[in-house]
Amino acid sequence: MRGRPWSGLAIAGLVVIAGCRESAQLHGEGPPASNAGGRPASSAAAPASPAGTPTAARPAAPRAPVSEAEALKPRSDLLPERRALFVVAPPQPGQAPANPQAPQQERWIDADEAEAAGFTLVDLSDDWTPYIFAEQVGADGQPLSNRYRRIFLGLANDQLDEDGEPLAAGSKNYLELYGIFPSLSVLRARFLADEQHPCLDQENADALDAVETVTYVAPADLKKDERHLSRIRAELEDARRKLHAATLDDLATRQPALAAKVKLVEKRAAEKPAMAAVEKRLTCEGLLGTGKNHHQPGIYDDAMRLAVRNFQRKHMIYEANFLRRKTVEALSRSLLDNDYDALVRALRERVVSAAAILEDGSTSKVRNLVDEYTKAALAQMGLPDAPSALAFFKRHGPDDLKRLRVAVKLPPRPDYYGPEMDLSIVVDRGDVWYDVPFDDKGHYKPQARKKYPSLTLYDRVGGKLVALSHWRTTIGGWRADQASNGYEYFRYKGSDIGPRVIRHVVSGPVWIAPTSTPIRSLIKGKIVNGKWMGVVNYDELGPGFLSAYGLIAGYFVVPSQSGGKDWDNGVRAHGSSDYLSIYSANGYSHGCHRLPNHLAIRLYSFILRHRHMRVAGDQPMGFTRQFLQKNTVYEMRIPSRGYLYELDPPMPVNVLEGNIMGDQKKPVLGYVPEPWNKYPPGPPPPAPESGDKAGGGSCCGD
Amino acid sequence: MRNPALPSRLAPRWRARVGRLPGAAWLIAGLTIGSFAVAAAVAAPDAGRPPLPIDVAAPNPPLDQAPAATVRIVITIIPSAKKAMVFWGKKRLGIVAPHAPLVVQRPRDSGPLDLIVRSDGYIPVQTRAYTFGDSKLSVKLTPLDQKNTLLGFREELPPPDGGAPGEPDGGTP
Repeated sequence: MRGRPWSGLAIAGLVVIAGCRESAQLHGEGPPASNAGGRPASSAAAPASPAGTPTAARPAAPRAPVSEAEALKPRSDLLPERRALFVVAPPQPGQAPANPQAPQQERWIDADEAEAAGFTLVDLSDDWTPYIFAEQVGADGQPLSNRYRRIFLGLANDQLDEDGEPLAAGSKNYLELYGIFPSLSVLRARFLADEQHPCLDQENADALDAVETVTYVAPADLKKDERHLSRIRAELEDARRKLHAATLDDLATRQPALAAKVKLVEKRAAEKPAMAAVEKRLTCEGLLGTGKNHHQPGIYDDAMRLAVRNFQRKHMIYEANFLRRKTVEALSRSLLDNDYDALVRALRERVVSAAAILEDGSTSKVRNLVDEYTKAALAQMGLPDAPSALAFFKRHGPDDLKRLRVAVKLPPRPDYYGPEMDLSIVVDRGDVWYDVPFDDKGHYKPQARKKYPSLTLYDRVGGKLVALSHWRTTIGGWRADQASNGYEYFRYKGSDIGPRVIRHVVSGPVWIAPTSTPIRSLIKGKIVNGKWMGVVNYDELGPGFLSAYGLIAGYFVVPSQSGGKDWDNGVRAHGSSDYLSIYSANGYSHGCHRLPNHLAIRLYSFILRHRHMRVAGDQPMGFTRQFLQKNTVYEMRIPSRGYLYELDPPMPVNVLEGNIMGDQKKPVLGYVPEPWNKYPPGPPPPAPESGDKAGGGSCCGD
Repeated sequence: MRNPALPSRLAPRWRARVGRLPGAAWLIAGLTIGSFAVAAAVAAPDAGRPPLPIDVAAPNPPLDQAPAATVRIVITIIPSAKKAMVFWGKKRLGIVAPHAPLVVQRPRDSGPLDLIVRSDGYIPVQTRAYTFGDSKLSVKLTPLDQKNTLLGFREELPPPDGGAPGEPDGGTP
């Protein structure tokens, strides 16, 4: 065990004490004022019994409307479970209160009355989860616990690792890129620490402002790169002397043919101090020079790559692990400004959850409610900038943040909102290539796409489809597959087309890797009780943010015409930690439609709260499979399939074929040998059969 | 998240250590640990309960019953007549003696245990026990000479010039 074995129990205890959340029989939308993932007001009002009596199972008594003046009466007598914070006179940007303790600007009010007066309660508590991980109660009053909830909370609070084991002292999770935002206590600690050590250095800031990116040079290519640059510098110097130009810029003006080379030399010259500034900043921020990898100044080595990766994870930057534009931009900003951005991101998810909205401006037809509501909440909470946020965290310590709801008045939601929204999903596969992506000699053949796959959520309003969100997603493509002879081949793993439905939505889903999954991906190294060893890669299987299905998945199926079992070809629309596969030009899945975890969480939380559904809860299973790798048998044991929500009726989905590019107009079936691999004599073994008539092989199929 | 590494050197080291132990010591150690395991299993308050399905433990107990602070993990092996050692990282958790399970108690919800089960003449097995609730872990061991029955076994490639009949070497005149 890695230290602090009881902190996990403490969290579990908190979860049990927290009692129950929403009813299992949620029908349609939750009221906008309710707090998904938090305690409903009725349960909060009731004392928690030791055994976790499901007080929330009782239907909440209808509240009589309360006037705003009544609701805003100060109530300093209430327990944290019953109160909400109201900011009376929020400071404006640049007007952080001189006295950060300034309690007169805030007051505690009765949370129930605030809701009855039309306020929305935004839950800032440390034990907040998105709706999909909220504790539910069955029709029989039994709690329907979610196994992953404890781990989710532990991860958000920097207390547990991905397996649910205590996090090593001083370690940070930085999981925003994977859909888990830091708790307010984690952010508070970050603000307070960064105020003490702001890493301010004007020289550094200037060096970083002077560049947009820093060119990556592999450590092995450093000498070659330096020779190349020296040659160019010498060439330019010769030309400058011959033309009697005063400077290189002068040379570029007088001889435009050399302008590109001048620009290159100047850019690379500016990158040197920028690289030094990056090193200084990452060291100051505690991300470089702390691990086992030694960093050599000026070189983008492994230590640097890991530090940049952690920086990107900390600041939710969707870029490859290099010093690209967004990364450099964030490095040039002050720590507190970056902390403030992190707070805004974390708050945004809580506002989205509290208001049960989805519209994020990804379609132009509807209001950008996510942005609008987040800005409104920030303004009403008096958090317009980093200094005000720092002041807020100085006023509200860890005890407050254990249970803290803030009352805000959000603009009304559009008229198309209702208890039963007619929602549906359309996946457009975009440009689709079936051709093998390499020639006989193994040379890669580019397969350019102009139109990328997309996933759109529609609501039918008055007979018309209104797009609420429109996001980039993935479709299947050519992937490595392990054949029955133990060798890897290429196989086209396409995405089914045509009408489907989503009947099951699973939070904390588990991916049962098909037997054709390359075994190398099913094993990882891990320190177990002080010893480094190979273990089954449960990160990949789930439940977890790195799982092949991400933090939540909707299962695409074709309903049986005869009322029998649905036909399931293993295609899902799910969250994913592999964001580069979603946003890169060459990104493909194994047939599923991936979304960044935080968007998948928003999508399914929205669907579950605006359609009739049933909470089935944890789906225990006793799946076991052994496989061999070198001299060890690895045994995967999966105790649960995840936490099931059943949409009733199921939600329609349509997958459009897209534009078929290239010469191959139908998916290639069977295995294709990889040109760079050696195989046993004879043809490849037959590939497992696929029921997919349009897209090729099955995808992620469990 | 972490760099992959495989524990290929574990087995020989352990076998070497085992080889140095005198037979009597083995017998005493086995009997002692085995009797502890049996005693723990018998003394447990829920010994009379029907066995849980393998690794399937309900994450939440009934409302009228507060969850115990610890969970029991009962580890057995197949074939049950053999003996195996169970390791949790650096720590040796105990021995699964012939027909006697190893019973481990862990704090509830304290995270999974990644274990290695080793037995002479069998391929070591890396497996996992969970701490959501009481559970049984039955680990199937495969004899060293039956590797080829396992998923992932890779048949060897013939040598580059092997398989095809070679040209008869008539020698140089």
